[in-house]
Amino acid sequence: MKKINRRDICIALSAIFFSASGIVSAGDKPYSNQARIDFLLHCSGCHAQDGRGLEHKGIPALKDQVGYFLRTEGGRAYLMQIPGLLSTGMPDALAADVTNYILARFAGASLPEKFVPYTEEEAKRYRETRPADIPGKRKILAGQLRAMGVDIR
Amino acid sequence: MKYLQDWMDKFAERRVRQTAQLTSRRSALARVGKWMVAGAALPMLPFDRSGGEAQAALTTGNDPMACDYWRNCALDGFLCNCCGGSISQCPPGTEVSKVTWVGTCQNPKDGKDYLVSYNDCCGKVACGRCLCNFNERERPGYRMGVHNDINWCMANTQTMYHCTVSAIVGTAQG
Repeated sequence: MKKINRRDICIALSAIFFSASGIVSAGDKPYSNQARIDFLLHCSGCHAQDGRGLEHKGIPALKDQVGYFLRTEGGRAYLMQIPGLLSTGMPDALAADVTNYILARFAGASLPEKFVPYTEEEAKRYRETRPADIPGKRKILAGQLRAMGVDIR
Repeated sequence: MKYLQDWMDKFAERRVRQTAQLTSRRSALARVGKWMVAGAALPMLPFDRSGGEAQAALTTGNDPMACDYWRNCALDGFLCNCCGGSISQCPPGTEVSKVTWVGTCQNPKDGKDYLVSYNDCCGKVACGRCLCNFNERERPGYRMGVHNDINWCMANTQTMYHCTVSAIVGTAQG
């Protein structure tokens, strides 16, 4: 039997620690390849493949914008409650996955330094408590961001 | 006003008495019964929901000029190939739609699934040639993002629909 050395135990323990803490370090991908496909299938049609959106037609840009919502109170829930995501009928795990993908790929400088990826349980919780007036919620969050001096579009 | 009300009362009374005299209670019952049975049975009769043969057909062809080319598996509209464009390029004078939807089609040659963007070409009247209607993995209108009965020119300045292209945007290998 192969002897287990101390280094292996260290790696295993740190892997357990970091996966449990959920904080993503540089180089880690917080999403699966399925998320890339889901983005193309369910989001890219309107938000465009490069995430630029179509603002004058009411399709928000993801690029350099989407991460700002994580800086607001209730923004983390809001991103999981947007109508485009709910109407796809994706299960909670995939919804969390595709949102993590979008944040990692498009948020750019708008992403807070410590970004904790969404988990399935979190997605489930937010989706179950969706407020009736989502555009109204966006207005409130955008107001918060403008008050912080963020150029939200 | 009083005169009108009196007239209505008399008219109704006359009609009711007339009906009572001319029809038997049994025939009235029979008639009501017939309507009740018909109302319950009619919706149960089978009728054609398929909307033609196209939906039953599958796209397994290899000719890009033909309707059943594999990439057109969820294309509902006029092929741009027949309208002066190509399978992935809009005809001159039209503009590609700014929003679109993406479907999944299997290439019979390599057995792989590809993500196909069905952009409409906008700004000219409907082309009218090569109407194709395939709906594999297409979903009803309440799943608008994967629905093909929509004029995807809606977000363009020119919202007139001319034809549809099918461009590959990726593979669906998970």
